[in-house]
Amino acid sequence: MPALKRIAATRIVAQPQVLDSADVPQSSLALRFAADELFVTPPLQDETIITAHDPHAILIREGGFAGIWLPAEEAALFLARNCEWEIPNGRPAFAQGAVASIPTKLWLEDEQVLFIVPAPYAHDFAERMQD
Amino acid sequence: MSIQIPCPHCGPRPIEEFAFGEILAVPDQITDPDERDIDRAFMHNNPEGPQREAWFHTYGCRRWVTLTRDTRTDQII
Repeated sequence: MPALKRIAATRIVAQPQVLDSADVPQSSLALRFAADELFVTPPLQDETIITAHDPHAILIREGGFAGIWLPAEEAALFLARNCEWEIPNGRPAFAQGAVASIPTKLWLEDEQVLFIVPAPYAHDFAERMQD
Repeated sequence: MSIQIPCPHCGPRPIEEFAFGEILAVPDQITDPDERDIDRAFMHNNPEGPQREAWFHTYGCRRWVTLTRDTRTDQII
């Protein structure tokens, strides 16, 4: 059974325009969960890139998600069976919604796809990947 | 194919991804605070036609989406 690993990240809730222009390190993966919410992994080292522009921003260390990278072809097969909504065509792309009836975030690259689910669903998700 | 709700952040998604939240409107002519509470809690509308609704995108961005749905056809207007 594929194993999903916990993802260490920083979860940021701030003004949308601050997140739009946030200078997140190139080596980080920044996923826009909502207009006012950004998920950055690995965790931000310098939180002032946000707090300097939005003193009311909320930044928390987040360990409540688990993820797994799959090769693009394998991911496409899995999504074809388990996803009811349309996957974006462009790459890289972020998408989120129900996959195999589990709330899932997708980070789609040319060669691979990152599946992120809330950690309590990780085991169920891994089981459904095998079905 | 189930009803699709247009989430402004995530795009169109099946209705199963959302949780329904009614937009509760208490008529202005009810002014007594207790009566307003009773109206809000028990006197829900059951309109036939377009209705303003709020849906929570549980499986996606976890934000509220406000929309108008025709209760006769289930079409999102």
